[in-house]
Amino acid sequence: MTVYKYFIKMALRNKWLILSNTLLFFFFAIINTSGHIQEEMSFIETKLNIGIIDNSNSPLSNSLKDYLESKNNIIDVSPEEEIIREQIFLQIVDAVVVIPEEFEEKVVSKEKVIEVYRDDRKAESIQIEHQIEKFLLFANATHEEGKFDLNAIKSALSEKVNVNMIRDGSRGIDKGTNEWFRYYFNFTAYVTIACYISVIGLVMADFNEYNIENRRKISSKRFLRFNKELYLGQLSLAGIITFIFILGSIIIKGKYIREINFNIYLVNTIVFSFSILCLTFLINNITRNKFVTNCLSVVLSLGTSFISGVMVPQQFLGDKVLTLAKFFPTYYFVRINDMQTSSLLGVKNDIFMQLLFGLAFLLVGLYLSKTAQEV
Amino acid sequence: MKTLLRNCIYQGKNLIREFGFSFWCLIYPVILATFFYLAFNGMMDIELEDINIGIEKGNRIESILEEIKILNIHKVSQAEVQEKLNNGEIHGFIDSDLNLMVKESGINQTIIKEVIEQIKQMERLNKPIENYDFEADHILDRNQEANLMVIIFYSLVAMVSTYGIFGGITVVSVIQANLSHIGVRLNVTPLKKHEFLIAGVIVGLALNLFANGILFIFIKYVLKLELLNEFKYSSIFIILGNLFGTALGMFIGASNRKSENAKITMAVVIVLFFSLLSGMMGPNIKVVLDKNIPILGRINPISIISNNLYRLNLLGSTRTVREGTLILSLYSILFIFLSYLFLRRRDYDSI
Amino acid sequence: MVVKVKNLVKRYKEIIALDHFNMEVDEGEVLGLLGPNGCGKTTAINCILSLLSFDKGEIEVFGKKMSPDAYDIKRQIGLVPQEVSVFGNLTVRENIDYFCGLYIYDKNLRRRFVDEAIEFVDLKDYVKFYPKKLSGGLKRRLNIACGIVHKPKLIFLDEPTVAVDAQSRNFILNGIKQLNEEGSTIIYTTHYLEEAEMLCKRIIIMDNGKDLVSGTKEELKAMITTSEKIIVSFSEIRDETVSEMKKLPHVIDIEKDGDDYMIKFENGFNNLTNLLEFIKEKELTYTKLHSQLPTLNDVFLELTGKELRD
Repeated sequence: MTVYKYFIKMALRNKWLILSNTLLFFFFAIINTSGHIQEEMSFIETKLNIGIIDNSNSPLSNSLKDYLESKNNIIDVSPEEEIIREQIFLQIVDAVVVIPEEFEEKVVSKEKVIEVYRDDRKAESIQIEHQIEKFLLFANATHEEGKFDLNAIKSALSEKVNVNMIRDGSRGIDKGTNEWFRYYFNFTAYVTIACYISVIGLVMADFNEYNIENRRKISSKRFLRFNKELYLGQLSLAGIITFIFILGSIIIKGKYIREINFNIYLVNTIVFSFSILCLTFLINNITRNKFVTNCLSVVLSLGTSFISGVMVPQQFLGDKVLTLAKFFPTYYFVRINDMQTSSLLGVKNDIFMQLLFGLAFLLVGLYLSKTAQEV
Repeated sequence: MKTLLRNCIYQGKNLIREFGFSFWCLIYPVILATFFYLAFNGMMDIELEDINIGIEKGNRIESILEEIKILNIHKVSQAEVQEKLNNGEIHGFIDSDLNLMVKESGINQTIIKEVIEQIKQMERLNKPIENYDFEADHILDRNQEANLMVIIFYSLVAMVSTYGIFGGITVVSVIQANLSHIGVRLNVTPLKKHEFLIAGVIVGLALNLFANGILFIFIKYVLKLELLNEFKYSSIFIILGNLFGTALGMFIGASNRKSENAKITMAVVIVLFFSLLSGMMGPNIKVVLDKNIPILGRINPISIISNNLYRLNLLGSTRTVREGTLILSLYSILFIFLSYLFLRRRDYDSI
Repeated sequence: MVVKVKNLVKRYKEIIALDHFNMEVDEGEVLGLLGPNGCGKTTAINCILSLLSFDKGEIEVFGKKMSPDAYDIKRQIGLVPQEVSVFGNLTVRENIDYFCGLYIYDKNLRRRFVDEAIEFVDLKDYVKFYPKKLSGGLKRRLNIACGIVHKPKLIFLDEPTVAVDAQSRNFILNGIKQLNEEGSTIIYTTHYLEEAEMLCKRIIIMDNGKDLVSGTKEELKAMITTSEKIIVSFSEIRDETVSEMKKLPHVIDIEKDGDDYMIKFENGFNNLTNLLEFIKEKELTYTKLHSQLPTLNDVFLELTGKELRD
């Protein structure tokens, strides 16, 4: 087992690479997911932070103000445009509403009267416009003989809809927790690719180095046995890395494991790791250059993560991008995590696809290694 | 002067032929930009899919709902509701009292709720339908055409502008006799150390600025995104970013005796960390930090650059230009000065 | 006097790398700095060139005190460091041209010097190659070219032949001779005895940071007691006869190695004649007999008690 021993030894020499990747990963995992939890537990309308600048101070404007106040948090803002934009940029306010002088007249004549500055980065900020439009729609509807019926509007707007949230079957799945696991495991796709290719790739580059390869060829060690030990080494290393990531999820959110379909995540992650290990094998048979290996690690991990829905959910990605993503196992891995189903049967196709990719990588890799051996 | 020029030419040749340098400074930013574009492009034009609403036969608002284009009405019996909600066939179910039943909360569910609410409110208001002018538009939208993607690209540009850090590290490592063999040789020639360093800084700056230019051209003509509406101050910030990066690189190179590889890893981590804090990988972190430790955004060099690019080009505001340029210049001067001190004191005891 | 080093002391924490080291180099000579690996040769050179600070002592080059910014002195010095020290991403010609340009500002002169250097190390066919494409020996030649292209008056060569094939090695050694004939003073460090003997007019033998002795080859050899060794193989000889042989004039010692007897003589005449007469008288039969003059290795052995081998 000398080869095996030295493989592991050389791999551990790259521990800083593994460690920095892992630390960065957990840093991301903790920071980026801490906000999401518990957010969508019940049906709540988001309250925005808004600023209102009323230059009219008329009954209608006051009434509008009251209405907006009931729906949002009011923040003091300065009337200066530059400062308004700055405060939105810094996300101190989500939107600022400016009511002009001669507001009532302009409403009646249906001019574009209200200036709204809002934060484009925050999709919910559009709801402030809906609220204003509805209020003014009602206001105009009540406008008779030069007067608005503000009381009627007020009472109409107080009308609410009852919303009943039904629970899903037997296991009351906590959406926030599930989101966390989904995000966490999606993100492991990124680190798995980055770690496998760079760490295993670098050690294999050392082993495949021309002179060492020749020395091996003239040694008494049988080729098959030599390779067997190498593959065992790669497998152990990959196992350790993947184990760290799975363990991480248990350490951070262990008490919720029963509430989610942890088995699916587990199987999916192991299958995905296998296919990426095969990819690493293929890459090792394509290049011996450490630099190229490093570049491939960065480009493949980032690239496939971006197009397969790790960074941005698949539902937001364009069709063309997704079509491209289908040519890589990450897409299927993420899809399973996103499905959040409880039965393995439901995801068998996507599991199968990942295995198929793994097999394909393996076969091409074997073919290349065989042709290289004959030279 | 002539020596300087010759050093620039040869150091330039040496650096540009270094595949690692070309990859990280020229190719990597373009690849990153492409991925950002691919991933975030879809987010810009989310088209609302049709919303499926379940109602019982004979619901009194059926006719109104049918008027609304994006809604698909499904007749569902009370017994099927649970099942159809569970398998996602309908997004929500409206009963005869106009109560809404949903399985989860989301954009579609919110829209359904808004619609029913408005119908109820209009009933309460009790005005003839002709009184409502649904076409009227009372809002003057004062937003720029800012989108999430542009903001992420400002972060990317800010990060890439500091990649002069690699050139900085290389030039300082080469000149130090205890770190490179060439350093030994250079130190016995009549070449003055500062001439070599200045040439290295010029080359590093020029090449990285060139790389930044390529990235801008790529973003503008290939990705077709307009980042620079304001040119003068924006370029000042990008140049200062380059200067800062190079100075920081020199400082990293001069301040310790680790290998060049270790130094480059250090550089990548530092730059990535600052970028992370400035919100490159997701705005959450930035928002949290801005709220709790606002000073961080004002002193984090990457934040200074990306915030100012945003303010200049999207807000048309030059409010923080003076402060930003001042802080970046101070950083650069400080790091160059410290590197100079370190390099002077060296006696290469560990050859 | 081109280089003068007096009582140089250099410490690395606990270790004393140079222990009151002295050295003097005259104009136009080839000085060999000979000693085993790790004896302080490179440290000495680095101190002389102001690459390293030192704890005690004086260093003068061209009669002036050497310092890191003594640019007028540096202008006249060339260094061929032990490691191949060139830019990896510049071609052979670009490298030579770059280093030449640090000394020679005139464009035409520089072009001539670069051409001559390329000619000198015979890298004409490789000018457009990058260093990593060159074989070990060729890399060394490039390393030398970069150090001597500006035709310095004083050249330091720090083990320029380490790990070089025999052909390149002879080429390099002949080149160094040629440089010296053209007027350069050369300081040459090596741990190869034969090189020092072949190349150097004067040799300083170093060990443990000290300069043990210095002098011409002949002077060094004259210093040691053994001046002649005669090796004889006897097919049969009795111990008493050997003891008698020891009493011959000038004999210091006799060492036995199988059938071979090495008889060491101190200075004196007719040593061989005396021995042959003795053999005749005792009617001994011998299969071979040869005489050896002492080598630098003998000198080193006698001075330090250890052999100078790599």
